[in-house]
Amino acid sequence: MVVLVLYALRANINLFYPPAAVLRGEVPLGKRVRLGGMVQAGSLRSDAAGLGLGFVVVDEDGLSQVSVRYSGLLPDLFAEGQGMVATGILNAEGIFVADYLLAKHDENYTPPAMRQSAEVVP
Amino acid sequence: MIPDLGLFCLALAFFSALATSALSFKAAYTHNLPLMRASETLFLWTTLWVGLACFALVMSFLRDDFSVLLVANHSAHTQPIFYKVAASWGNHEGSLLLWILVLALWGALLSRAQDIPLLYRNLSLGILALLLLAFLGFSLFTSNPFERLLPFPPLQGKGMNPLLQDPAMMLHPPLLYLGYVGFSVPFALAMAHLLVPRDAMDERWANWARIWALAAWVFLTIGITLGSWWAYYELGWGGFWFWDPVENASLMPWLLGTALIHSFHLASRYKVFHVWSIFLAISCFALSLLGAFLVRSGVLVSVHAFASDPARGVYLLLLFLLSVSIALTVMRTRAERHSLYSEFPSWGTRAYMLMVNNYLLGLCTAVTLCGTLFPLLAQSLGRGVWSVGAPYFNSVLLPVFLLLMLLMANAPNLGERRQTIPWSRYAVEIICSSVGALILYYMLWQLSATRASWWTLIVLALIVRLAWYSVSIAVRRQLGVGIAHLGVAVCALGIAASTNFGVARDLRLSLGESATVGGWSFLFEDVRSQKGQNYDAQALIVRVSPLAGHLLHPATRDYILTATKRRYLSQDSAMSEAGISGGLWQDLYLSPGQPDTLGAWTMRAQIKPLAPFIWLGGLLMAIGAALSLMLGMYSKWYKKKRIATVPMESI
Repeated sequence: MVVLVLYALRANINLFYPPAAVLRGEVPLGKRVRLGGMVQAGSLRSDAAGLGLGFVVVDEDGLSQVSVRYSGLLPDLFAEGQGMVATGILNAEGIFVADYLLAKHDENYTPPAMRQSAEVVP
Repeated sequence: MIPDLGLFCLALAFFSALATSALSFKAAYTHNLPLMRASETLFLWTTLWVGLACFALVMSFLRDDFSVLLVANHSAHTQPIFYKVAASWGNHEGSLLLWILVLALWGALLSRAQDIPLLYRNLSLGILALLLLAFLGFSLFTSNPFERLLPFPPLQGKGMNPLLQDPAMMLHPPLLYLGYVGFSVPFALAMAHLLVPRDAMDERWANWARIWALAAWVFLTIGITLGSWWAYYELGWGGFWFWDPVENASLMPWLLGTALIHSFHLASRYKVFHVWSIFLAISCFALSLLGAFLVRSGVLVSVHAFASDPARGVYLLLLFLLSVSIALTVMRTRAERHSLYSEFPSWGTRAYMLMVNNYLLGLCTAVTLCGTLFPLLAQSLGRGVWSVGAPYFNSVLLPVFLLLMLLMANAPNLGERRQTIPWSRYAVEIICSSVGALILYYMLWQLSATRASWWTLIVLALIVRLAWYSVSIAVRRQLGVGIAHLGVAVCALGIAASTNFGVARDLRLSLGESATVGGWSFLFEDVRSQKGQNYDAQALIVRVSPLAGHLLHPATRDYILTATKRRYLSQDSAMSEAGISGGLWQDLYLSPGQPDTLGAWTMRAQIKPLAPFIWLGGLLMAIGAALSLMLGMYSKWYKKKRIATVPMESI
């Protein structure tokens, strides 16, 4: 049982990275991880057809930028200039392909992971 | 004025709880009966003060008294009146006060339980008063609900989080707390059983504790079911369980509480596992405290997590460690008195199977605990920020749940002694349930035009078998137990069908355009603007019609789904309201997305066969347990009445 739990944990946990870590090349390619940061203002672009869209995630200091691709519905509170956490895979072109987005919940709530994104070095 | 009175009542309750606990321990120590009765009365007074403090808080919300910080932060003039009431517990300070109120009410109820000997009742009340004292202290010193914004109160409040503005908010937190906090009563009774002198020990304690645990379990079950249903329609993604740490925090006491009511049954009926039951009662209580810690300390990423404050987390963690370590120490030093009972049940009996049930439920709790705490531990040890996904819980817990269902389908029919059941009977059962599973599979396949994997058949067969056996128990032996077990089968059927046969597709539709999803056609008919009391909304009207009729829909009909996108005025935040319809046999689920510049909307369409069964099952579990509770009380009352009348007749 313990082995099963450990195995399942190994297979199903995702590490959290800020955009700066992506630029430093610390994020393993092709592995499911989470990326957290702010959605850069004016960066959200929807495809002309279909459900695909893209945006840029920046650190709180606005220095490191990572492009994110996503296909599907956006969460209600997702907005430019707001925080978000994306789960997905970093591809070889340096684009983060997300399959799940989590938006910041309300004006006085920031996920603890977001608050630390600037200082945490995983 | 009212908030000041509220704070005064809260302080009064603090001192009253202090006096109650001191008095009842003194009374227990000196075995002074009048003093015991006095401490009971004092407990009722404490309850009254707590009740008045809660009333004052609700009144402040109703009167829009924005000089109270809590009201200013969580309410607004425009908020409908029900949500003003609900807002009083939709935040950290207020929900803590609700917790205190519920604890006091359970204690007050316990003080009226005449069938429990005074000594037990008094000691348990003393322990509950201590807990009350700890929580009142927590409320007064770290999270005062009556904090003022004087001398310049704002003219308008910020309003409640739109996610919480839902009728379920009126019921979900109080019910959940009634369940959570209710497990303090069996805990207190277990501690009392450990603390009473040897000559006053009463074997029937397990039976009393079972009744209280069952009552708490009923509330917790309804609370969790309601919460799951709420998340399903409100969060707008169509999931019924997200393995969110706070959901887990309520699931763990539920799992262990389920083990507890079964082990109390074992202890009261078969005179075994008294120490184990005590241990379970302590753990169950510990997990509800841990839940409180997880929710309040702000260590979690969750919809439920309230504003964080490290001091609060530390206080709760200390309270948790202190009470659990004291309880376990008492158990360790006093448990040898019970060695008398610890006789091991033999294989093939019902008692043995109940023991396995306890083991498996304990295992589920441990697995959930691991998944919930791992990210916290990793983070606090500086090993990076991790998250444990739903696949972990699903992949580990699914086999254990299946084993539990297998056990449930067989164990209740076993006797107190081992019997041999002929193989032919097993063969007939296996064939019958396989046929049932095949029929179910075919129907579900028809419902959603989706084929599930082969192992779904095994799960369905297990569910059919469990349902069949539960009905036979309900009819032949114990109505309540049968219905509760049937609830598990119904819930499992809903989960298995909606996850394995469900279809989900993201669409982008213009007005008048249609798309096909899992045997249904979704036609985008209209967009309408709506105005609510405190929001503006756009409603998407989508007509869903089956492409071909099927077995469960002899009269083919269309469903109209209305999915709305709301924009709340006071926060300027958006909220999706999913459109759900489809009757009992399936849910047709539509989540609204965003409009694009050309007027087309993105939306997610889902077909979920038998999804309503998930919550129906939860409700059945609660109804079954409540029924067995009431039938038990009735038979006791009936017996008492008969005993009282018999001597009269014989004279």
